[in-house]
Amino acid sequence: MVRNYETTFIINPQSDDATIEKHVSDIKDIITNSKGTIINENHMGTRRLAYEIDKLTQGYYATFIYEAPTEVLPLLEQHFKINEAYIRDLTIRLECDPQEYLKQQDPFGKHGSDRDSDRPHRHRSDKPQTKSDDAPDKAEAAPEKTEVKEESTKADDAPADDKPSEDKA
Amino acid sequence: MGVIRGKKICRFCENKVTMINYKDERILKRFTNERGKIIPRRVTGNCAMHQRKLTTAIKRGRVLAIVAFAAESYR
Repeated sequence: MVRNYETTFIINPQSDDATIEKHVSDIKDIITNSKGTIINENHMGTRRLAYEIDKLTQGYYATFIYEAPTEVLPLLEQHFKINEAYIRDLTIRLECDPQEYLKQQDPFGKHGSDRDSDRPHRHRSDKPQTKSDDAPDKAEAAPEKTEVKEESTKADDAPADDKPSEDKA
Repeated sequence: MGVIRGKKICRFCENKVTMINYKDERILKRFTNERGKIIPRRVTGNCAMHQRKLTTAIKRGRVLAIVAFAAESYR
């Protein structure tokens, strides 16, 4: 039975580019050799890992979206397990059309950037962005404050003048 | 007396999202707290369907070291 799958895996980035490339093409060969067709190939490249895996802090990420018979999965699994260069792997079944799936990869990309201000939680990594957003606001707010101060000093003067006059009366 | 706020709208419904990408660090981090815990939908205002999809996406992201299981400082 032919189904759509997406396989993402992480390769140890310490080996040279040629071997990394070979590890990626190995996966591709396994898929194509068992009558599978690759729909999309995405190399995210070397990224920082969210947590240490085998004392590694970085990993080379690659993703394949493909249509293949179910027999491919045990072959891939075996390959990932035998070869130590693969740190992690994840294969998921795509329930929907792969083309539609690819379109949805960046849902907030077009519309989300303008609504970043009301996100539920801000991370440290996001701070530089928010700071740059706040900067113009502060610049606008600054002149207003000085105006208020001037008014308040005037207001302070006024009652001071009144009080002595009340005493006299 | 609590402040009465308007009903929160699901961010994913608003953008007509049908699938949540588990490789997108930005989205996964947006809906997890500093510890790496998934923020409940009573806080974020997500609808049940999208919270379900988000949960699986975050859990997949954790396997691939895109988001942490727990923040480094708390380990």
